[in-house]
Order: sequence, then structure tokens, then C-alpha cells
Amino acid sequence: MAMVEVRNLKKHFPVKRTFIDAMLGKPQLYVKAVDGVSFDIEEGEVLGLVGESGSGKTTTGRLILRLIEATEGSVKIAGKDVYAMSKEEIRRFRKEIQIIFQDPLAALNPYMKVGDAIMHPLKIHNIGSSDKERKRMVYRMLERVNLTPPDEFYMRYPKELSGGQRQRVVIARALITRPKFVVADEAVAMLDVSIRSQLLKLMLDLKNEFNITMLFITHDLATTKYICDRIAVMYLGKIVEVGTFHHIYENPKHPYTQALISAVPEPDPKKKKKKIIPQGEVPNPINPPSGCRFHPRCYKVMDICSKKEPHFVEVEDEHKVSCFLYEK
Amino acid sequence: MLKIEDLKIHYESKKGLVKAVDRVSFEVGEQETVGLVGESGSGKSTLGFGILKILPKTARVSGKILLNNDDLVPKTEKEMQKIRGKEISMIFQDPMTSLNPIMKVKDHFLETIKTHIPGIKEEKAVEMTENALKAVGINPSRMNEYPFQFSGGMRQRVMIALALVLNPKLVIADEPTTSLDVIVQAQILEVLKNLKKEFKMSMILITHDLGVVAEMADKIAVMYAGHMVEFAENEKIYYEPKHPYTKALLESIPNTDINDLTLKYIPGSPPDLADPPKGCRFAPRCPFAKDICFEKEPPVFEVEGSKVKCWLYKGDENGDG
Amino acid sequence: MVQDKFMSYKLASTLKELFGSSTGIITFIGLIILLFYVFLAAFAPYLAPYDPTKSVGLSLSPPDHKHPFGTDNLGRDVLSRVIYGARIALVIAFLSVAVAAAIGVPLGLISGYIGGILDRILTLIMDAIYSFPGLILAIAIAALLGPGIFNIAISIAVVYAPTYFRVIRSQVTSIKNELYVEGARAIGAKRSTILLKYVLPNVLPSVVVVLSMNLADAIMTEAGLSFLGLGIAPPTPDWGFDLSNGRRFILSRAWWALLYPGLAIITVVLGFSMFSEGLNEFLNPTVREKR
Repeated sequence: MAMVEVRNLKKHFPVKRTFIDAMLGKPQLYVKAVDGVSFDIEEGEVLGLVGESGSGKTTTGRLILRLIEATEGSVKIAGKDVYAMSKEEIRRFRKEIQIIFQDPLAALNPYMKVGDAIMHPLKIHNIGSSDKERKRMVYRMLERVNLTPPDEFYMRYPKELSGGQRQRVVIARALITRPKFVVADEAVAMLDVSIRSQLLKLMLDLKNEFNITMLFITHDLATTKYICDRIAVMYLGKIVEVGTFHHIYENPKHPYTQALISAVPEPDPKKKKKKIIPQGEVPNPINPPSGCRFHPRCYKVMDICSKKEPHFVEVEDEHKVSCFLYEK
Repeated sequence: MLKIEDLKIHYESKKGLVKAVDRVSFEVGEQETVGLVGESGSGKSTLGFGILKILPKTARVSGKILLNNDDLVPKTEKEMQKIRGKEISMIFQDPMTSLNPIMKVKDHFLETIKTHIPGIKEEKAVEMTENALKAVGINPSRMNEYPFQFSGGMRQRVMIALALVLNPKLVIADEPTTSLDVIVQAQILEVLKNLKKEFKMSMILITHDLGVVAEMADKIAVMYAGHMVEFAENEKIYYEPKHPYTKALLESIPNTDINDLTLKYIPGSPPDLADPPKGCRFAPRCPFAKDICFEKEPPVFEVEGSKVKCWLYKGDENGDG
Repeated sequence: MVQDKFMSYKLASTLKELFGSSTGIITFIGLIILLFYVFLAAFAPYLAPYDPTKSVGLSLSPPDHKHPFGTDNLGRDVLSRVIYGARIALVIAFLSVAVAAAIGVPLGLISGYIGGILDRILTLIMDAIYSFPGLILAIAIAALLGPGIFNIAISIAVVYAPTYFRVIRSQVTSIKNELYVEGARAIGAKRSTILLKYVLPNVLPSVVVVLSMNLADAIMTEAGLSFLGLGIAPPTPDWGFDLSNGRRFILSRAWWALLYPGLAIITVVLGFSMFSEGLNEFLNPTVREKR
């Protein structure tokens, strides 16, 4: 049984309409941020969820943790149905499921000391017999994420730390309850290159040490190869391709995946890649294109693409793509 | 065309004097693109803004900024206003905040044109606007729209058109694609590449992304903690990096090569510019640091056509600093 | 802007224009004045030369070396009454501000965080009170409750509670969308914990600012109430009451019975306003977080 099972997950945000529009009987519009997403993550596996802004990848992460309520679909983590739980049950279950946010400064309470912030999950879930023991656990965690000396960092406020150090605090807070499943939402996107790799290394080490299952959400394909076992590519609320990173890098099937990979600027001036750059930008998710959502920008578009929605086809072992080019 | 000599930009702050840019020299030739690469806090943006002297009041600038042998450092604000937009223009990172939300796109252009060419006929100015918008791939009929009606990528195109409308000799682009998605970024880079040829202009491209400059720049300057640690031809930087920081930076950027799976990184973090290390500013993080690196700031050595600010190359060539 | 409700805010802005942007000096002068009155109030029995409620000289005798501020119509020493008056003014000011905050802050927190119907109803009530002219509302409540220190404090508190409510509520509605609040939910914190540990500390600076501005206005309102005879029962020394009492003898050229209580009110209000302006600049997040 997979650690995380996501089935047909949907989130449609209602668009605010004015009172007059409602009176005139204009229909309620919805932003279809996530529109039928399904995947499994095995225990100890890291699944990369890659997409541009507006693809719905961040919303997917929050839906899985039930930080926002889904419109439809189900999520099972460690065999437990997250959407069947009561508010109190899910609150207790948060010990096992955690999130690492993109912006560590915004994710930390500016009026709470670093040590207190990391200790708070322990207090909430009654881990450790006394404050003294909890403090020892926090010290150990601070040392583990390389915030040393721990007694000094314990007393600091988030404002007094650098971006990289703050993200280490967020990681420490997320991992101190030893969760089984962690969502990393663009966890290294805001950091500088030299710091980004440090943090990736730390996350990779901690993931192996604590045997964490992870959903690694990112817009940057290049960072996924170090940490992800498999990659899912998302476009306009739907997953278009899933495979191991070898599949995605060496043999991308979906035209969107191909475009995404070819658009990454390489730090290698002689390696002139053949670029497939689609025209225009991601369309409005209130009224997504019919059929395959990528068809208006696709360089291999066929008649059928605008008429019917493609299904997933297994092109090779563990490599699935949702595109009519591969449907027989 | 643009020659910068021994430029220093220091700020007064509560913590003391912040040496944001310290003794930097480089030049930009006709129709040449120089990539200015560094992490946040390296001083790359300060340097870019400093060339146009768009700096806070607490900044102190010394050294020389020679634009066709005309020094910009002693110029007054009024004289600078004539240069900005006309001779040198700038493309900013965030087009939403640098465009006035309540002004039509057209009015942004007309204002810029009229400031620099007083008494220009309205039709002529509109025609210039149309041409600039066409050049960046925007339908000129959209000029009566407001900035918010454009998508992120389109807004950045508007910014680029606005920077080019007066046909400047030099464009400074400060992280022009950082806030954009990869595919849109690739589109914008394509636009910039074509315009460079079409308008025959020089460019300074400021970015943190060594991937972006690889395709765009002729020469690359690598900044670290206010110092320019290396300045060389594009391919020299990528294939024969000299400075240990350049080497480490290149190794730590993720690429799409699937055989290269080791995660390399630079330990430690950049120094506080109010209290930088005494010698070489990279010394505390440098695997090759020697005693002298911690004591004396290295001069710039010229090694095989690259300019390197590092003591490792002392024997190879005579320093000029 | 909610602060516009406070006269002290307008006063301080005018002052700032006068002095330029030297907020530091304004704050310092304000603090000195404030400390001076606190000192007067605390040590009134030792500082006042006479018992403020007893006749100790001739009726309406002009200032001289025995009575530096003169005496009032009942022969009471004006200086002593001004010194003792600081007690009533400050006690009522602090008490009413405390009550106003105790009503406004929790309601604002709950209303802003929970939202929905509860929020609508509370906002409606608070807005109704807020739109009432302050002094008139205070008069109505004071008349209803009758004299007495605590009653006066309550009638003033009702006037200012909506200000706390509005400031807190608007802050909470924006703070509850902050990532650190979602972060707190993600680690499994209860609603009450989030409210107390993550939301409250972040609105507290604005509470302090409103509090300090409120003090000056509370003193004014209290003086207004007792000027109209709705305040503390005589013979307790009270600036507002003395002001209205002295006014009756202005035609007898007894200016001292009117001037000194009036001056006391003006300086203390000025002091509080100046001090709150400084605090505002220092603590107000909108000013502070501009980098």
C-alpha cells in the first residue's frame, strides 16, 4: 500500500461576483485550480510536482494536507482517509503530516523566538514529558540542521537570521515531531544558488535519516533530479506526465514537458539546445481550453486535441503520459 | 563605450559604512553584452543602479564611470536625468511596480519621449511608441490599455519597449526575467537577443542565474560581496573558471545533465558588508585559502585574458592593482 | 483612518508639522509632561500646601505668596485643587482606557478571526456606537449611570471601545491570512492557541498606540463631563468641575480660578498627545515595516 494515495482531487475556488451580477442571474464562475489529480507516493519516496505558476501545484500540496478543503476527491495518508476525519482528528494527525513553506520569513511568527517556534509542535502534540526534555529535543534538532551553537539560536528572533538560517528553522519545526509525510512547497526557491544547494543537501539527508515520504513542489525542474525519485508535471490543474527523473529528463513525451525542459537556461554556452518554446502564456483557469488544456500552445496539436480529453497511457514502465500522440 | 574605473559605492547605515561595491573596474564595448552575475548582497544591482546614479541619499560614489569618455560621477541630478532613458536606460525586475498602474501604457511612452525630445509632435511620438511595441512583439493597438491588463510576460515586454523607445546606446537590465516562469523567461530572453541585434546596442545584464547569461552575454563579470572577483569572456568563465568562487558557483547550480547527480555546494554564507573580512572576502569559504588571503585584499591579476581578483594567481602575471 | 477619531491624533499631527519631523523631541517633551503629572498625582498629599476640599483663605483672593494660584469662591486653594485634580484625571483616564481595551480587544480578535455572522453583528453594533458623537454618548451614559469614578470611566470606555474593536479587527483579518498563521494550523495548533500565540502578539503594538492616544481623549472627555456637572460629585477636586465653577466668576475678574485648571487640562492633553505620536511612529507596523 502506498504511503500517500491521492484520487481525483479537485479544488474549484468560487470567483467573487458582485451583488448586481448575482441579481442579474450571471452564473457563479469557478477557478479550477486543481481539476482531477491522482497519484501515489510510496513509503520513503520523494515525488516531485513540477509546474509553472497557475498550474495548481501549491494548491495540490495544501489539499493533500487538508489545509484547505477539497471540492472533490480523496486523500489517504498511511492508510487513513484525511477527508473522513473530524476537525479534531485531523488536528491531532498533523503530527504525522507537515509542510515546509517557500517563504520562511512569512512562515514564522515574528514575535516568537526560534526555539519556541520549534518547540511549539512538541507542546501541541504532548511529546516529551517536561519542558526541560522538550528543550533538549529542540537543541538536538537545532544542531541537526546546523544552527549551532543551539543555545544561541534558540533565543533569536526570525528577523535576526539570514534567509538560509530561517529556512533551517522552518525545516526543524516541520521535522521535530518526526512526521511520516512532508510537503515541501518551493522550499528552496527563494534562496541564493550557493545556499540553495546546501539546503537541498540537508533535506535529502534528513529525509533518509528519518525515512520521510515527501511531495517536493517546485517550478525548477533542475533541482528535482537531486532529491526526487519520480516527477509529476502539472499544467493548468492537471497532471500531464509522470515518470522517474530519467524518463522525464531523457525521454520527455508530453510536448509541455519537452518545452519545460528545453526552456531551462543551461550554464553552458556551447550546449545550444533545440528550444521548443510555446507561444503565449498559461491561459485563465476560470475558462480552461477544451480537450487537452495545452492544445492552444502545443506545437504538435491535432484535431482531436481540442475535442476530447486525453487519458493516461503507459509509454514505458512507470512512465505515464496524458497526450493523444501516444494513444492508440 | 562604457568604462568603469575603481568604482566604490558605500552606504552609511546604522551598522556603519556598508561597502556595497568596492573598487570595481570593467568595460562594456559597442554592441557588447556584459553579464553581471552574483548572489543577493553581492552588489550587482547596486552597481547597475550606480551607473545611472539612482541611489539612496546615503550612498557615496567615488571612482569613474566613463560613458564615451564623459565621466558621470561628478554630474548633477539634472544632467543625469538627460542621460537616463536617452543614453542609458534600465529594465527593472518587477514590471508591475515600475509601471504606474493608473497610467495607460501609451502615456508611459509619451511621457518618456516628451521629456527627452521637447516639442516633438504627438503623431511622431505615437509612431515611435508603435514601433517600439512592435519590436517586442506586442500589438500596438494594446497601447491604450492599462498595465494590469497585461500578463506578467507581456508587462515585461512593455518595460523593454519603454527602455528602447529612444534608442539608447546602453541598456541595463536588472534581473529582467527573475519573476517570470521558465517558459516566459525563455520568450523574453529571445526578445532581448533579437533586439540587441536590431537596435545595435550594448547591454549590461544583471542576474543571479549563470544559465541566463550563458546564452546572452559576450563577457561575464562575477561579483561576490561587493568585489568583482572575475571578469572574462563568456566561454572562459564556463570552461576555464579561475576564481575559486566562480568555480564553486558553477558547480553548485543545478543543471539538466542526469549523469551529474552529486549535489555540490559552497559551505558557509556571504559576509556582512558592514563588517567584511579583512583580506579576500571569499577567503572564509574558500577551500584554497592561504594565510595571505585573510590578511591582504588581492589585486586584480590578468591570467590568460581573464581578470581575476585572487592571490592564487600571484606568480602567473603581474598585478595591476 | 480610525485614528482620526482621536482629537489627540490631529493635535499631534499639527505639532509635528510645527516642529518638522523631529519626532524624538516631541516624544521626549511629551514624556516629561506625562511624568510630571503622574508625579503630581502620586505625591499630591505631600505636594499640595492645603487640603483641597477645605476653605483655607478668603473667597476669590488673587494669587499671592500664601496662595500662588489664588483661591476659589469657597476660599479653597486653587494650587492644591489643581494638584489633587491630577489624581482624578489620571485615574479615570487609565481606568476608562483599560475598560475600553478590555471590551474592544477581545471582541475585535474574535470577530476578525472567526468572521461570519458574528462578525457582521459585532461590526454593526460597534459602528453604530462609533458614529455617535463621543461626548454626547458619554453624557447620555453618564446621566444614566449617575456620578462616581467607576461610572464615569465606563461611560468614557463605551465611547472608545469601538476604536479598539475596529483597529484590532482590521488587523486580525489581514493577519489571519499570513503564512505563519497557516503554519500554526499546519503544526496542529488549536484555534485558541493560534489566536493567543500567533495573532495577539502581532496586533499588540497597535493596541499600545491606540491606548496612548486614547488617554489624552479620555481626559478631555472626563473634563467635559464634569464641566457639565455629570462628573465626580463635589467637593472632590476635578479640573473640569473647577473650570465650570471658575467660569461663573470671570466677570468678577477672578481669572485664576479658571486659568489654572484650564492650563492643567491643556498641558496634560498635549503631553499625552505628543508622547503617543512618538509611540505611534515607533510601534506602528505600517511605519515600522517600511524598509
